[in-house]
Amino acid sequence: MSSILSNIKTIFRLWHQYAKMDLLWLLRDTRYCLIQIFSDAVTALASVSAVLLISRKFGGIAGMSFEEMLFLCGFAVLIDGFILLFFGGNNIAYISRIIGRGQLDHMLIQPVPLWIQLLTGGFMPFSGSSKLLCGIVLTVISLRRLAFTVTPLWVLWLILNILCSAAIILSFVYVFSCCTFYAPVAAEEIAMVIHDLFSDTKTYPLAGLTKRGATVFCSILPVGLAAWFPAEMMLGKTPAGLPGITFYLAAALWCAAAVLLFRKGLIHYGKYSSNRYTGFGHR
Amino acid sequence: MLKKKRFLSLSEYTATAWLCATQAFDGNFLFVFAGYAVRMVRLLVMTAVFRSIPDTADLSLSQMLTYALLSSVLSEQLFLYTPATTALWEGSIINRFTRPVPVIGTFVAETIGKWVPSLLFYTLPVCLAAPLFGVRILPASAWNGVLFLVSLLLGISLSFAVDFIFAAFSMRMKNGCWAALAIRDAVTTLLSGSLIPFALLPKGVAAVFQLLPFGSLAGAPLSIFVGSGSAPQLIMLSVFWNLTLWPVCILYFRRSQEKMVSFGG
Repeated sequence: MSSILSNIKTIFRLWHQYAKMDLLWLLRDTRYCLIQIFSDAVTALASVSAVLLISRKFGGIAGMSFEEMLFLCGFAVLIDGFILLFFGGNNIAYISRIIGRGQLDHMLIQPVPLWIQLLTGGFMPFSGSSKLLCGIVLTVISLRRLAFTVTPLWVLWLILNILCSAAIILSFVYVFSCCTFYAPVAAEEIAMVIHDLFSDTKTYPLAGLTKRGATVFCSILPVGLAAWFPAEMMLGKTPAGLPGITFYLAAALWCAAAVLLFRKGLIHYGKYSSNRYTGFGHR
Repeated sequence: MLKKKRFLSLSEYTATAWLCATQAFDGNFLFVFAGYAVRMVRLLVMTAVFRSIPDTADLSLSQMLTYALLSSVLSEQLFLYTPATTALWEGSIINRFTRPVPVIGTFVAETIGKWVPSLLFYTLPVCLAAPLFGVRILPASAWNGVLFLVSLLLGISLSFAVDFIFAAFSMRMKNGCWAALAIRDAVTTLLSGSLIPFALLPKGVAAVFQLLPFGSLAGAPLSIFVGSGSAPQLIMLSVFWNLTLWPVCILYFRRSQEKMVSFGG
């Protein structure tokens, strides 16, 4: 019990430190930090513009009205924002880079468990907040247009779904990034590509797929689970004819797979490390 | 003498392109193949989206599927990146300045060389498999096919100009070059029509997007291929943007390279 409390304390202490460092970047290098914040906001809005324009023209697509599409896009940007804010810094969301460059050594010598470092090392509450803010604005607009009654319980459900979606995306990225333990050069940038899989595809509704296709996209290739499935669920629909529990089950299974494979990879790393580490950098 | 110099120069470009074509799998081969898989998944998602668009659309389902397929198989040509910005970030750009060929030419040769593996291992198999999935991979007519090739070449040329303008902009941004790249990515994806045909957007928006230089990168050649939009008008627009942006690109790049600072990343 005391170790759990101590871990929680460490997590908050580290979040506080990373927040301080992020604020210092904003204050000391304001111009570049603001450029970064602006570029994130532009990226977020551009990524949903195309699908929103189509749905505007046709009054909705794939069984979703324009307002529902707006909600889907808002939710998708919220997830991106959440991942950027909590895991965007220090390549935590792009773990294959850390492993492939041998930089995991830096983490393993720290007097803090690796999982806590991975949970806290990417925290950027100032420079990484623009996408989350865009997502909140889009979601609020969509809910107002849908005349949706928002209760505190529904907000908690929304947060739970954001956590699960982010967990699915990050787990999927980590599962593939585990290749880097065995092939540091060949897979160093694989996390970036896997992230890219979700970047624009998650804003599209997948109702046009066959039942089998939808099942694949909502399980082993979780593109549909990233935003479309939970968004439909929160709007009171049954996406792909699958029960809502599928989403939470998939999140748990993907997390378990990521932890299992990462541990296995770490054992390999413990024996062989990465031959790419050099005193003056990684390459 | 001049002829010999030109020949030598051409052979140097060819050698650079060949080198880049063969080195694609030297290191990050998993990254490269994962990239093909992601493009495939994106294509499947896009076809699912297009299948759910109402029949009232200005494009038929067959045209939309052809558009999506072509956009996917030619994505590296329609949405091209030269290694300019990455080289600037890594500091390796300095090597290009020591070579006896123009820097812009070297980047063009490198980019074209890098297309070869993708054309062999993604474009070709997907095009061959397209009929199995009921997607037509032929142009609307033979004439459309010819005009598509013209438009594609103009689009690629324009895409190089846009990329070098952004690279020059990145030189001025110094540490902010990745932010410049992210903005370029986001804006180009939306405005080029590489993902969504302009015909599916609201009329006013589509008209504006088509007139912008980005519209000639992907939207113009793909629309000509599937037989939507006025081909002569789209080609004239591409020619206009090429004639306008290339001088801007060369001038801006030359001026910006004087301000270049690169520490390596």
